[in-house]
Amino acid sequence: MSSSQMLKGILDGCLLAIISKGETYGYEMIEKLELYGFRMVSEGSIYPVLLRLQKEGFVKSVMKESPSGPKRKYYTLTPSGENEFHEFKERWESLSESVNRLVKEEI
Amino acid sequence: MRLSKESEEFIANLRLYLMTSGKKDSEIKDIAEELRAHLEEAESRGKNLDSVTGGSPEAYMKNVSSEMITDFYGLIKFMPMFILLLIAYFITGSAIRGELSFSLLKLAAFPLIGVASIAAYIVTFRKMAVKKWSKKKEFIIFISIQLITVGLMSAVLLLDIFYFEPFYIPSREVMWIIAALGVLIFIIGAIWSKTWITIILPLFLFGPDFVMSFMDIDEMTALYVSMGTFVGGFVLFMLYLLIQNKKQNPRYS
Repeated sequence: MSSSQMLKGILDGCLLAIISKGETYGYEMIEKLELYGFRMVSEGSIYPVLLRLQKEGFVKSVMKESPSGPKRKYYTLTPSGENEFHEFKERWESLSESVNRLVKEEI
Repeated sequence: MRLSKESEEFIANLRLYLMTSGKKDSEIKDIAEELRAHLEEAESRGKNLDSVTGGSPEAYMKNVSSEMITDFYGLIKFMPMFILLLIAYFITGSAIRGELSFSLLKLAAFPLIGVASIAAYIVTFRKMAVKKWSKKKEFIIFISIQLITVGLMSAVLLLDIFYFEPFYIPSREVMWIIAALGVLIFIIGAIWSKTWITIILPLFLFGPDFVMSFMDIDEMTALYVSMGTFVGGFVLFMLYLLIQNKKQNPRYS
């Protein structure tokens, strides 16, 4: 299983995490993801996820003129998005703990 | 900043694909603008289209489409107008020529041919958006659909003349009224769709018949004039679509 396949299931949560750090737009999210070491994401794959997050009411967006050139779509979390993010964090912590215990044979 | 031709084509194709998938116009505009902004930044940093689509525009378009709500209400909303226009296209010409008659065959076959032809166009548009076809291939496919449609319609007309009794032939006065209704539908269609296309196209299709119905011209000449303007109209229509497409993607050249 490639890392991009593994990421698929948790990209929603990762994007919620990035957006929770403050209003941001698509390209900037990619840069931030790269900053955290995500290199396997094909850049466009975030947009279908953003569409889904918006459809589910976790994020809202607003079009703004950028200082240089094209209009950008800026995203922020909604209150239910904040909730979802916290739940994701809990789910992730328990899952990653279990996986770590398993692969490192800590029992 | 200008985008590479490849990226411009990708955005135009994505719009086409989403449009023929019945997505909302405003949402299509949104995602197209967002991706344009992304591609501009990516290209200014030396990346290319593949970094966004992951190498498969087709898979990417399907992925985007699957996350957008299909606007069934929007589709249903314009069906009545669409059907009216279709009927008007079928009967206005013969009403003007004074050849309008209703038979069972026509009533059954024309709607089928119309729907099949439109379905073929939509399927082609969708395939065209995700596959990289040459302009030549696109042109040949569109011309083929057009020829098959016209061929089928002619076959039905011939069959109709030889084998089917019309159950109703309107009087000449009624035909003029039907023709006038057809014209009215075209005008309403133009106002409704905010384009000139439903006026310009019928003008080319039926205009000559209308003028010639007042003149003393032999049938062969009339046929040639009709065919000539029909082909001319079709070419103009294609040009119009091309210009519209450029207008909607102003940076595309």
